[in-house]
Amino acid sequence: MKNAAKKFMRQLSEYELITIDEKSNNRINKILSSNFKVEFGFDSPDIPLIYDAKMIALEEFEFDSSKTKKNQVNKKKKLLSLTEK
Amino acid sequence: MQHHSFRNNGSLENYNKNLLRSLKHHISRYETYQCNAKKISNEKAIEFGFVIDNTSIMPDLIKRDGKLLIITPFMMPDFVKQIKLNKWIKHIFYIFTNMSKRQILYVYVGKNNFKYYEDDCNHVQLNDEYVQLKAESLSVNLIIPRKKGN
Repeated sequence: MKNAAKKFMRQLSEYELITIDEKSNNRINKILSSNFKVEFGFDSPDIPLIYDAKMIALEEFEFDSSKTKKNQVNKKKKLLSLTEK
Repeated sequence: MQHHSFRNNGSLENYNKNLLRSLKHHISRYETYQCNAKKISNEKAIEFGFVIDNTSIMPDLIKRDGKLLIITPFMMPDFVKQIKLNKWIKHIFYIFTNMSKRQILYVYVGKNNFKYYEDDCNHVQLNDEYVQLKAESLSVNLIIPRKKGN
C-alpha cells in the first residue's frame, strides 16, 4: 500500500469524521461500511476508491493559511482510491 | 530556556488564496487524472474528489457575534463557486484542527444537498473577524553530569 493511502486510511480511522448535511452523512456511511480498502496509485501513481462498482478518485493536496509564499502549496499531487473487495 | 515564536500570517485572504491556488491547479489537471483513471480501471463510472489537508499550525477561526467559528472551505464563496462549476468533483474530505483534535469534514457534492453550502448566510461575512493566534514553544536543555567512574 502506498504511503499516501496508508496516511489517508490512518486519518480516517483516527480523526473524528463529521458531516453537516444528511446526504453526505449517508454517503460516507455507505463508503465506510462497504469493506473498502486502499489499493493502488493513480496520478503519479496513487489510488482510486471503488464501492458499489463505482470508482472514486481522490486527489490530495494541502494548504497553509498562515503562509504567503507562492510555492507553499501543491506539495502533494497524490491520487487516492479505495477499492471494495 | 529557549523560546520560539512561529510566524503566522493567517488571514481570510491568505486562506482563500492558498486554498484556491491548490484547487485550481488540480482542476487544471482533470483531463490527466481522467486519463490515468481509465488506465487503471475499466469501470465507466468514476467519481472524483479531493482530500484537502489544512496544515496550518493554528486553527483558522473567525469571530462572529462574539462566537468563535472554525473556517471551512465551504464558507468561502470562491471555493463553492469552483466546486459548483466543476461538476466532476463529487467528494471532499477536509482535514483540519479544531485546537484540541484533528477532524475530517466530509461533503458529498450532490444536486440537492449542495444548496446549503451555496447559501450566502453560510459564507464568511464582511463583519467576520479573523482570529490571529500566535504559536509559541518553550524548550529547556538540562545537562546531567556523569557520575565519576562511569
